[in-house]
Amino acid sequence: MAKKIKPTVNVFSILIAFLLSVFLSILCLLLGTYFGLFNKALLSDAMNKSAYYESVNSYTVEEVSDLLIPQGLDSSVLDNVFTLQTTYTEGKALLDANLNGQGYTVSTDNIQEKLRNNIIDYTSKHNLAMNSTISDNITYFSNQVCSIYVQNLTVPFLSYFAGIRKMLFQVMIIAIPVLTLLSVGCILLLIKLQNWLHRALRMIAYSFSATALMVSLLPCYLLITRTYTKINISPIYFHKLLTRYIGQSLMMYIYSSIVMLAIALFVIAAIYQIKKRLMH
Amino acid sequence: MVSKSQWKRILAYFYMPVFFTIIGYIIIYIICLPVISTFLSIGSLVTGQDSSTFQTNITSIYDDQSPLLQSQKSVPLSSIEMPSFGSQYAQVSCQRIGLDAPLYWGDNSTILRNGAGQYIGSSLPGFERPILLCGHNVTAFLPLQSIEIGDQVSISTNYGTYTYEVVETRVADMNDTSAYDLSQNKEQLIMYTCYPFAFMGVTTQRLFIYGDRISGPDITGLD
Repeated sequence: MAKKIKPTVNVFSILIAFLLSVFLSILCLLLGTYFGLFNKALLSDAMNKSAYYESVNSYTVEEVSDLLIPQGLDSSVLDNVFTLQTTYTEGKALLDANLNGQGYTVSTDNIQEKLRNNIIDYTSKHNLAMNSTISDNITYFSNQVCSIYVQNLTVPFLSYFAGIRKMLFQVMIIAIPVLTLLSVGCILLLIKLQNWLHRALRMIAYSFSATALMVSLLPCYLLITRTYTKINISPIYFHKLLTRYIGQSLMMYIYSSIVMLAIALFVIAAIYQIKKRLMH
Repeated sequence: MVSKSQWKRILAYFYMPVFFTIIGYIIIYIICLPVISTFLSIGSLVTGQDSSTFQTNITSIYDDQSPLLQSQKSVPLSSIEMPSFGSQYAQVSCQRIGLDAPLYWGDNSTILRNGAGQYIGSSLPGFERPILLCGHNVTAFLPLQSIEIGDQVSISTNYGTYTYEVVETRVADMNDTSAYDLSQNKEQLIMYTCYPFAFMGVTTQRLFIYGDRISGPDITGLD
């Protein structure tokens, strides 16, 4: 006859299983945050896929076009000033520098030169007199355009990215080993408490399933309702980048919960095998 | 055939994780209770009801065939449709100089590309308070280079046409706050644009044109 388990042992086992699920959840959240929200490759990918660099060019042209009207110029002076190649090269260099916590100054010499040449061509075509005041005005205007371009190319808050990532890494160096030890300790305790291995594994399966559920619930809700797309942030290309990036980051939590669920299913399969062996 | 105890064990693989999840979220809720309302307030500040469209919608409530454009001595406040940001609510004109531009509520770059804009901190015509209009000197307000004292500028709205006689013009720096007074209890039309005209480059000067109301229906129900 099978030995009856004391109720206190059962309650204690459930408590340990719950603690195990908490430790595993924190572990998954930390890993999901580091490989999701603070993943450099994910950010680069989001910028490429949200057509960030093309959007910077078109937004800059639109913004500068509004400055042209009071200057007495037309949009032809902006032809070939902002090229995708230049924006991509400078944008990528700026992004890499910011992600590594380094400084980078965007080079606008080409833009200034092209813009200046275009304006001079425009004035000569329209027989507009050129004097030192107008020349100074062209220089002032070119500088204004370049500063708008650099401002649009710079991803806001990125300068904090490297610092926060470093801090998170410091936390993870301590937290991951501690949480792993605690989890292993809980597993060993559960095995020790139960007379039968399959009963202990059952508790462990509950923990891993609960972890999968706890970690995936909020990201699933956000991904389904797309609440994060309602962030009021401008300009539109930055909004697209941010929503794409947040969406991809949330998927990292889903992937980690899928791993936990897979482990839970593996443990359930193991329980089934052990019980089958015991029957025979 | 699955026995009752086996069913219990199978169901436990579902309700136990759900039970753990509920307990876990309750604990998080209790711990975070002091800061939840703060986070939700911040969240509501940075998010909207729907995804942003990032466009100023240029619309129009102006109807140049409106029956109220017929000369009336007074118009009730309740019959006036208030414009929203980006909507054309009137037409500003001055026959002598060839000024004829749609007038929009608001003054951002999208609006100024389409016509004349009005600073939303100023008042609508007929409301006995200053009206501040602006426009680009190469498009909507180009004709203002020919304006003189004594010229009559009209603002046609759905609730009536208001006429203003130009009493003063002056050039001031764009940062000169004494150029206009929006707190005065007088209906004064103030139009401004970049100065000088036909100048290529950055200018810090503005041409200000001031007009006093000489005709237009009174609005009843204003307190």
